[in-house]
Amino acid sequence: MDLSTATPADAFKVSIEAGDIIIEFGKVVEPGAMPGGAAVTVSDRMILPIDTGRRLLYWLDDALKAHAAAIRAEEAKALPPGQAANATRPGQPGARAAPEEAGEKAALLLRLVGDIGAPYQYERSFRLCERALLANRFLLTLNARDVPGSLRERALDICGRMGMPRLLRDAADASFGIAGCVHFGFEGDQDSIICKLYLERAVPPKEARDARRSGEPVLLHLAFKWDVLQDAAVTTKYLWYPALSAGEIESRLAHVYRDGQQPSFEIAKAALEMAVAKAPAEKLQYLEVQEDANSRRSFDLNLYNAKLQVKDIQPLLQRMREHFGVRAGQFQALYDQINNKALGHLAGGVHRDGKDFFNVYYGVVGFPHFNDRVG
Amino acid sequence: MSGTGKRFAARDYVEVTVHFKCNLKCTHCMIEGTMNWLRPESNSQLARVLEQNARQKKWKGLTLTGSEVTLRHDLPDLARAARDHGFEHVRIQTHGMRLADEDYCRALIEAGVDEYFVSVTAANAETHDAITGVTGSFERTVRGLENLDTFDDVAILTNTVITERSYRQLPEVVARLSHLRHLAQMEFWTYWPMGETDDKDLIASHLDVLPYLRQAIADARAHGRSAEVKNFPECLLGPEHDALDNDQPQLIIDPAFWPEFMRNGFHQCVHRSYCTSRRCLGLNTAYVNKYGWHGDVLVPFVAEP
Repeated sequence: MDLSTATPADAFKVSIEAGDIIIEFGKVVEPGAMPGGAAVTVSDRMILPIDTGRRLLYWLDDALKAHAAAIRAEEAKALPPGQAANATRPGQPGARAAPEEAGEKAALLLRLVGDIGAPYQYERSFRLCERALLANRFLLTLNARDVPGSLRERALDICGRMGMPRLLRDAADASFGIAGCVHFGFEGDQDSIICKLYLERAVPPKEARDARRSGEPVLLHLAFKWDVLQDAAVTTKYLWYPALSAGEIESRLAHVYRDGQQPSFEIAKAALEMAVAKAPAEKLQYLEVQEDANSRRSFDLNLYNAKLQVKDIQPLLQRMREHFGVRAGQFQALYDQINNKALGHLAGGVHRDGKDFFNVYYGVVGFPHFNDRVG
Repeated sequence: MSGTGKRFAARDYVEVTVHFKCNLKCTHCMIEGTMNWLRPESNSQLARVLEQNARQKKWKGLTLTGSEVTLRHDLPDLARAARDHGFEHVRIQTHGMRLADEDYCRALIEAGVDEYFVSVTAANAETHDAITGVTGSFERTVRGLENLDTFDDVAILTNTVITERSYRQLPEVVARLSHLRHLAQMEFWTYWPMGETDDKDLIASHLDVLPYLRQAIADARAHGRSAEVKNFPECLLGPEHDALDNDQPQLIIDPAFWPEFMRNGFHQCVHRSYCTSRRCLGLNTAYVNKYGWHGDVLVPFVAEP
């Protein structure tokens, strides 16, 4: 090829005529001569078969790879910061911190339950215990009647994907017939990730009335709990004492705290007093918690009907914080985020590790099923 | 007033980096390691931005930034050119020391610079000068602010970078500047190190910063200022979460800056995939590497059904 007559070009035009690719090369002689265009003196006109055009495209693309970063950088100047950052370093985000496994598991559980497509309730909580505040805890509640297909299959499938041990799964399967609704529980920190499946009975009114008369509790929840990080599992019974008076609840609390823990007992009593000042005790729900394999002895007092907010029990929360030696700044950082939320329920007592604790549930939120009307 | 209802909405501004030299040596300088090789935009590149805006009226304001733009002798000319091309506001980002010279201050204002985004790193000379590395810098910056304040039709914005060395003084910064009539907005930018680790040990724990930051926000608002926070978890701000605004104007800068910026690795949080906050940058890599995930206190935003 004789290159002595090569003509520099800074403009071109591509068209297709009769199955051939036509490329005209030229020089811009008058920029902006027309809106969106320029006047060009055409110096060469090439006619290429489609196949040759395809090979030209390949080699042009290959030749431009060496300049890709500079081209992207120039183009990025016209972009907003976030887009520019991605444009100049495509596919190469900055180094990320190692992910926290608890956060990933929590996200997985939320996604799996959300994927069922049924309405569910979402309730977060925090735990205060000896020198510890744990805030990554929540419950997700599904009613059997809202779940398309078999709730048993869907729930146990989710548990399986959350690492539920086989034996525990079998036990849950065997008891699943009692479930009018299920709750998925999660609590995670750096040391443990505990997932839970609660089966909640729809207690017949007569059974509740009989229990009220006899003073004996009825089984309300059967819970299956397992630690994703450690080989540990437990089954927990939640026993409901229907329609207790304030005095009777206080007596039950005294029984829970019978081995001491006086400061926690006083706090629990004070919470009860605040609640019954807003609603009759019979509108609250008092449960006690048992685990056969350990010495857990605790209560769960549902306070939603008292229509309190978290901030209403702020003095009690401060007493809890001081009692457990949690840093004031750490607790305040959590408290300021949630103090306007509805106060849900208060759990406390002696946990399976033998240690005093309180769990505070708050701000239950329901998520509607948007496809209800579609049937 | 912009459509967002904010006086200084990011979308109304374009920032052009016209200078990458500085006569302070702030410990928290986020471009300290890049100033030597980042290229400022040329006059012709700036001219293109001005011409674009003259045609399209895309932005109301131009911010001249980079490092210390008052070191450019032609700064008044740049401001005049921007005004001539239809910018309603011209802002400079500065440490404000040169504004201590009344004549210079007047020259900038007469050239059309009507907004001043001034870095005040701490509440007193001892701390500020230790951070900037230049004795007397605090006094000159404050005098510059006071000079500006004597002019009508001037808006002052301040920025205090939140670091281990400054966070305890945030409310005092607000108090120290409380006499300024034209101080419209106080910004508090949480430090990021442009890297995966906090090599200078400047990142402060959000939990330690929180009470001081919230007090500063409340105090600034009590003085009638707007308060704006960058790069702090929205949830932790509690009732003051509306102070968080991570929006930034379009920034015309050497594209080599962005790969460095991306090393911060924003948008990390244990709740990231289901939290409904749309303006939170979460935590960044260096922060998590230093303080962990704060899974014990962060609470995700939840959409109300």
